[in-house]
Amino acid sequence: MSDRSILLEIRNLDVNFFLDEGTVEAVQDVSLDVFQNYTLGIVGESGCGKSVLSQAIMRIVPPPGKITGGEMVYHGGNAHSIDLVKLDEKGKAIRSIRGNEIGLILQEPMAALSPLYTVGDQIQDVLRQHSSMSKPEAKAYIVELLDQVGIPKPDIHVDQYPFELSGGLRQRVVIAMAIACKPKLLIADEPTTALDVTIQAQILRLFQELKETLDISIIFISHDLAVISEIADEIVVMYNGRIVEEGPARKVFSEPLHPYTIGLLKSVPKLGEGSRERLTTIEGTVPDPFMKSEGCAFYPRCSIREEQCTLECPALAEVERGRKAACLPIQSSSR
Amino acid sequence: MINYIIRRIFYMIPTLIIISMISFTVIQLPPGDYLTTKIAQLQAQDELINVDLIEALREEYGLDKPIYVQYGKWVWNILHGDFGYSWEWQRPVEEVIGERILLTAIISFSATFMIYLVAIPVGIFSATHKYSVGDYLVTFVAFVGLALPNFLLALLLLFLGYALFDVSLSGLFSAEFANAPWSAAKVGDLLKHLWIPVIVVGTTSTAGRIRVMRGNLLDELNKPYVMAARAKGLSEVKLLLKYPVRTALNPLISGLSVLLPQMISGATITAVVLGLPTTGPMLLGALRSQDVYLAGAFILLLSTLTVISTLLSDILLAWSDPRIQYE
Ligand SMILES: Nc1ncnc2c1ncn2[C@@H]1O[C@H](COP(=O)(O)OP(=O)(O)O)[C@@H](O)[C@H]1O
Ligand SMILES: [Mg+2]
Repeated sequence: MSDRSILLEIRNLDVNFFLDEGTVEAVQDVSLDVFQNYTLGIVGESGCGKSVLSQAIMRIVPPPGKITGGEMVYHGGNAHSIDLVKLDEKGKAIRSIRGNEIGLILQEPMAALSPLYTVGDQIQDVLRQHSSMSKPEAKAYIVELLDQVGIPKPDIHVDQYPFELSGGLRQRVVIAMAIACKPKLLIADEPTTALDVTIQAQILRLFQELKETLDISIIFISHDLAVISEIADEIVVMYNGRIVEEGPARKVFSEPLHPYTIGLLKSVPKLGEGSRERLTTIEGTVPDPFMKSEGCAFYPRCSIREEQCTLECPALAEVERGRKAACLPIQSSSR
Repeated sequence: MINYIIRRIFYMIPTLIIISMISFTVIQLPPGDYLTTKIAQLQAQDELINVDLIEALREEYGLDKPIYVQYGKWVWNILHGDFGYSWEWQRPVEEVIGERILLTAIISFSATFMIYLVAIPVGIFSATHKYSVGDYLVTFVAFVGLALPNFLLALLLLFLGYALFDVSLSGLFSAEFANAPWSAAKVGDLLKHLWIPVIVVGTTSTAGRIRVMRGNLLDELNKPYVMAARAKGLSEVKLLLKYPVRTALNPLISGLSVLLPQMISGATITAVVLGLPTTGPMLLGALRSQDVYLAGAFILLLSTLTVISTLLSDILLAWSDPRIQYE
């Protein structure tokens, strides 16, 4: 990856939610790099902090959530680099990045659209915010854009309300909205999750196309390792707010290192294996977000746990060339 | 949309017919009629009774006929612009009530306007500054406003007017304009007096709507579409007004159909306390003395106002919320 230039460098990012019941450490000590023209997949069970991480990059973590540490250095096109963490959440600087340099596709395509405005109207917002397009210009461009994301009869759908569209079309509308200003980075938070299988495949194909035709980096989030491995160049596996494994997509999918990744992989239905075998899910449940433990958060569910795992929280470290894992037994055996 | 409005106007007709029937019947329910009451009164005072005149009146208005004939006659006359005769005031009904209905409408609509003008921005402020000092202050004042009965507020304002400024705030006009014909100066005088009844009639509902607006908006603020709008880079004010505020307004718009009738009837008690020349006190008097045509005209006109305001609010809502289907 050294031949690629870096777009976004996240270092030791912490995001906490300060609730009455206690503090939820939604993202803990996350470091990752996003390169140009490259797709990073983030995978993990629900509640592991994927959405909060994407909100943090946009600086739209809702209260009572706060970024409590770390930095996110964005190397935009205009030569200088900015630490997104240092920007004022409501300031001009971050607003000129949102939707313009970085596009975000929120998790639920239905809820992310207001029922009171036509899809054209809602896409127009982002265009008119970041460009000097007139209304008719914007409209013509939006019709083109809807066509590009595979919406049939775009000139009709542009004037329709979200509730008049099917789930698949709404997802395409949301994608169109996120890429309208040709951002350098596109964050897609579970863009295939709420859809049925055939539509899922279509949306995935659309992302492949966008990847090939646009000059864009993508952070693709999913809880489904199979989906991620189809689209991502590099995969990051998250558990309980932390990165537990990182490596090239094919490697992580074919020979996962971390026992959590192995578990995730077992819970993926194998395509083309004929029989519909029962999915094994990882035993145990996601840890209580208010419980803090000294050791590894995965310890209670782990198949290779050792005494040392209860003592310290494992840091992410390289265990093979280009592959990292946060697991003490693996780290000690590879040494 | 046009079809929808036409159809809705069409539906108003049976509603009004039924209202007019019920109100006419209810007014007639007590035994006797205005004339028998009057005769008894005069007899008690040993006064001479012009039997011929009374019989003539009875004949003209068909008081000896069955009630449905009286009703039919009443409606027929109204359709020809004749609301009947007020026994009590000895004048045609339309002469007696014309101005009062107008003033009632002015107070009710101004109060409704004030309620929204105050409640919407204050509610927005309160929701977007949740748990701030300002929010607590608004909440406190709103609860006081909710708890305070209208008539008490009216008395309080009157008292403060006398005590602090030595002015009489009751009535809608100054003495010199009360019986003067309408003129620009009289309208000005009306505006000077209008705010007191408007505040009195509107305070409780304003307080209520502030709470409603705050609650609605708080619900909306956490919705993903607000986050989506923020992710587009829109400024906070712009995105708030375009997305969550607009959504939070819909329940208030549909609430208009309840609010306007409330304002119209709410003006009644307040009008008695403030001595306003509106419909309330006169309607009460007319009902008490079985002044049939006066009471009937009031009830009919007030119901028409109510039905029209319901229609207005429904049209507004249909216009503001695309999810509402006209079919
Ligand atoms: N708005 C919020 N308020 C409080 N807690 C939140 C909020 N959003 C997320 N969290 C918490 O942060 C953690 C990570 O959530 P999230 O990023 O949504 O998970 P996922 O990986 O499923 O996207 C969870 O424990 C969740 O309860
Ligand atoms: Mg999520």
